[in-house]
Order: sequence, then C-alpha cells, then structure tokens
Amino acid sequence: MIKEMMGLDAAEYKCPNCNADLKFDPTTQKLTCEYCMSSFTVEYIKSVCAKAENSITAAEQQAASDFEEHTSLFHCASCGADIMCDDQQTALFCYYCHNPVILAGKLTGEYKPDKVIGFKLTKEVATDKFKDWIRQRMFVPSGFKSQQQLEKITGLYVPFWVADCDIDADYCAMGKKIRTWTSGSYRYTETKEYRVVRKADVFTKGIPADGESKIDDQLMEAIEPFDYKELKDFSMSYLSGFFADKYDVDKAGVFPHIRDRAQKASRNVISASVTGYDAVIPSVNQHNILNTNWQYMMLPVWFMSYKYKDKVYEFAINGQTGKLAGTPPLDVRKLKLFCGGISAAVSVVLGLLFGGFLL
Amino acid sequence: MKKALTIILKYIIAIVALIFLAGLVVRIRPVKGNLRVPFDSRFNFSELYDTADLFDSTQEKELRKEIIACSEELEMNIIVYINDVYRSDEEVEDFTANYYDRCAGEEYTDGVIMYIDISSNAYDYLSCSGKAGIIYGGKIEDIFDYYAAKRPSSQYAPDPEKFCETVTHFCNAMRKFNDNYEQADFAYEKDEENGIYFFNYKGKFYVTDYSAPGSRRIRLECIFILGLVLYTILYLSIKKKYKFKDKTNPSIYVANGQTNFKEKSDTFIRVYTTKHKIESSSSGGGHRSGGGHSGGHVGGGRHF
Repeated sequence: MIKEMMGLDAAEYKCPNCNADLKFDPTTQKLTCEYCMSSFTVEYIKSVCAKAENSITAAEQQAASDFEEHTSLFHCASCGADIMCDDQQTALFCYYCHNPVILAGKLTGEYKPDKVIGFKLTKEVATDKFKDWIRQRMFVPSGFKSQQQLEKITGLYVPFWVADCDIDADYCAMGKKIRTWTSGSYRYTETKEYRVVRKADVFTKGIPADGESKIDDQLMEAIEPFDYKELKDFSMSYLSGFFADKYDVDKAGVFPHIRDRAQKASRNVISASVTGYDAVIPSVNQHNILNTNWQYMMLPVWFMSYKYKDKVYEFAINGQTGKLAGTPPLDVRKLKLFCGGISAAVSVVLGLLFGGFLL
Repeated sequence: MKKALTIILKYIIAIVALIFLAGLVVRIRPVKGNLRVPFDSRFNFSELYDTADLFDSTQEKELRKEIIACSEELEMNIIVYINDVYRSDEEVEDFTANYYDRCAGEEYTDGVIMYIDISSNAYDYLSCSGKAGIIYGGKIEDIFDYYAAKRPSSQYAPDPEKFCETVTHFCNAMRKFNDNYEQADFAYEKDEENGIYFFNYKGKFYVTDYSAPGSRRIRLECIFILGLVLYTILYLSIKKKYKFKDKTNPSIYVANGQTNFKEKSDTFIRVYTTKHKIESSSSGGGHRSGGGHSGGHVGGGRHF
C-alpha cells in the first residue's frame, strides 16, 4: 500500500477544504494538506474526486466571457486597492483611502463571482443609519460627522468566499452531577460521574469570509448575516451604480478563518447537547472538517472609511439587512476635556461641602 | 510596557500636583475661631498635688519650685498630681482632664497635667491642653519612653526619693520635647471625643472646634484623588464604547436539522461521597467605653 501511494503523484489531488495540493504522509498513511493541516484517507479523497464535475457548461462560458469584456479595473496607487465596475462608469476615488484611482485594464474570468446579492438599502437610508449611529457618540472628531464625510459612503460589492463545511465531531468528556446535604455536624457531597460521548456529523452552511485583505475581517463579520435566499447568479447589471472589489485573498487564504468559525459552531452544537451536569471535563474535543464546498460571491456593503491621526477607521452597513458596525474614531482631547470638567465640578462641590469651606 | 510606564508616571505627577493644589487651596481660607487661652499671670496655676502624702514638706517645696520654674520657662501650666487611690484607666483619663480644667477655672488654657499613680494599678496619664496639645499631643508615646527611665515600678513600695527624681525627670521631658518641637502648618492633633483641633498655623497656636488646615488639606486631597478616580473611570468607560466589539456567533450557520449524531451516550461510571466537618465559628469580644470629660484635651497613658 505504501509503495502504491508513494508511486502516486499525490499533487494531482487537491484539498477539499482549501484547494491546495495534497501530499502523502507515509507515517499516518494519509493525504495531508500542508497549508490548512487537514488530513484525509486515500479512499475518501478518491471518492471526492470521483464525484467532482469537471465540465463547464456553455452558459457559464458565456457569462465568464461577458464579465471579461464589460468590467473595468481601477487601481489605487496609494493603498493598492483594486476596484472594479462595469464599463459604463468610471471610478474616480478609492473607496478605502479616498485617493484618485487609475484605470488598470480588464479583469480575467477567474474573478467573475458565482453569485451576488443586490443592494436593498439606498444610499439615503444608509446615510440616515450612519447619522443615527454617530449621534450617540459625542467624542468623534468633528470631521467624521461632516457632510463631506457622509458623501464618501460608497456602495461596494465586497468579494466573499462562502463555505459549506462537513464536520466530523468527536467529543468525549467526564460529566459530574454533584449533590450536597448536611447531616449533624457534617456536610456530605455526593458526586456521580458519567462518561459523555458525542460523535456527530455537523453541517455548516454559508460561512462567509471576505476576500479583500484591506477590509477588516471583524468588521465584515459584524454585519453578518446575509440572507442567502436572495442570492442570484452574477450578472453585470448588479454592478451598475456601485463599485466592486477584486479579491486578493484566495480560498486557501480565508480557509483558516472559515475553519475556526466552523469548528466553533460545531463545538457549540456539541456543547448544547451536553446538559444536566454540574461540571464537564472534556478529554477529546475534535472537530475535523471533511469537506468544504465553496462559492465566490459579491455581497452588498455600504462602506465608509475615515483617516484620523494616521489610522484608518472603517464603517460598514449590510446593504441587504441594514445591520451596521464600525469603529468610531475617538477625539481624545474632547474626551479628556469632558472628563476633566465633570471631575473638576464634582471635586469643587465636594470640596465646598466637605473641605471646610462652608463651615 | 513603555506606554504603561508613561501612564503611571503621568498619574504620579497628577497626584503630586493635586496634593500641592490642596495645600494651596487650604491657605485661601483664613483660620478662625481660636478658643485657646494663652498662658499669662492670670492663668498661672502650676502646682504639685500630693494627695498620697508621698513627699515630705522639703521635697514638696523643692518639687514645686522645679515645676514653677519649668512652667515659666515653657510658658504653660504644669500640674503634677500624685495619687494612691484606685481608679480604672477610663476614670483616670476623665479625672485628669477634668481636674486640670477645674484648676484652671477655664477650658483651653495652655498646660499639661501629669497623673502619677502610686497605687497598685499604676496607670500614669499625661493630659495636654491649649498649645501643649500640639507640642506634645503627637509625642505622648515618646514622652513616656523617656519618662519611664526614672519611673519606679509599682511592684515595689513607693520610694519618695525616687519619685522626686521622677517628677524632676518629667519636667525635663517637658523641656526636651518642647525644644524638639518643629512647627508645621498642616500638623494637627484632635480631641476626637469633643471635636477640638490643636494646631500651629503660621507660628500661632490654635485650639478650635472648626477644622484645622491640616485636616482640611487631608479632606481636600481625598476629594481631589476621588476626582482623579472619577476622571479615570469616566475616561475608560467612555473610551471602551469606542472600541470595536460586535461579533456574529457562527452557530447561526449550523444547518438546521442536519446534525446527525452517530453516537450520543451518557454512561454512568461511578458514585462517591465525601464528608467534611462543619467548623462552628463563634465570635466574641469586648468593648471599651469611657465617660465624658471636659473638652480640649489630648493625652495618653502607660502602666508601670
């Protein structure tokens, strides 16, 4: 068997999770991915490959060709962002750093998304939401609330890798039920111990990870979820009036993030099934991702960034649900003045009352 | 690390500045209400009261001379009271202060009374009034340490000769600690029971039922530090709201109804019981109470 596998050109096989090349590990007798650390039996990989469809339909070929012909790519020389839009409009400024952008050419078909969710929120609604959000924050710099800044809110299709994961969950723990009572001058503690075993196939659907390194992952995570029921096949018409970002992080790059979230979701499923114990001590808690199905899609985000004291503050609104998130910049000088004023006023009042000035 | 050190340094500077500011603010308000009756010929009543008949007339005469000389030198009254009647410690404290004020005919006069107890209880007590409160009030323990060198123990029958030395030594103690007294504007002593403050502000002795500059400075320092704490709490709590904290729980992505449990078992392994003895706690204690005495005295005592 070993000889057979050593003779096999294992690089022909791609990791079902991150698409990197798999290599045969003679010690474990498994195919392992050096990139995402997944490992699979040879039989499993062969069965996955047998199911794979390699053919591309004529309609898909046509869509890729349209995408190549009707998209323009603009490049920001300042921050390196690549912005795409349809060939009917021109991007003048970078959505991220607000510097002018230059036309960089056309995009190849590999950047064509599979799916898209169109914008449901208008710019006016997005602006109002931002105004409401900022109203509760007294200590942002004045410039952050200005009309000029509000006009910088950009409708942006953010490239997302969306993954469905099949997870093999293996959990074993010691569960304890504790009962105490008092008799005479003694306190008794009865401990019942149980062996808790959970083995399950857990499926996660549609965990997204943005493929743009410039946009903060946490920010995009915060405006989730998107309603995938409204997913449509990508068409150039969705880009009209909006900009789109070209991904610069591929599947393999986002996989660790996806894996963490999928494993966390799986752990939550298992934890929810372990109930009735006063203490649980896990000895095995493994959540292996066996297979990942990917989709590349564009999701709608109203995006704004603000540069303050050499730091870029990002603000985003889910263009479909209206959920918003962001890090407001803090004008420390304003805050110090406010806190100093309050503290000084309290000190003066206390000083007059208890400092011997009114006595 | 460097940032944390900078913040700590800033706070130290702020605290020092606030302490300095508290001192400045206190000086704005003039000191008022001086109850002190300064020592002069009208209020000169230094005396030796030998109620135990310990000394003969010659000894008494010599000691009286020494007490008056010391009194005039220190510009305060000195009363030495020799006692052989049993009194409890609390009774001694009240009796001493009241006896002094009875001799003076007035409260808050400058002076001290030394109660020397030759009974078996032997609780000697020094009570200070007027300017003596600020000069000796904070040094009572040191004075007794010095005084103890010539104070015979109560284990032996009282020897008049030795007690003559004790009284003389006490007068020397008064001189020594008066000479060592260093004026400080914010130093003060307080008669807690009557709320009377003793202090020397800008070279003038005060006895007052208004707060002393030193006590007001301490209160102001506390208020300012409280202000600094309030500033810090406000600053940090508001700053916290400017941090990014939203997160979406990935559990929302678990496909509903598709989780397939291949094994789901809870197998009982064992049971065991432990027992601990409950420690019974009992509390006890006592309390100390004392009767009231006339106001404006600070003092302390020691058993011999």
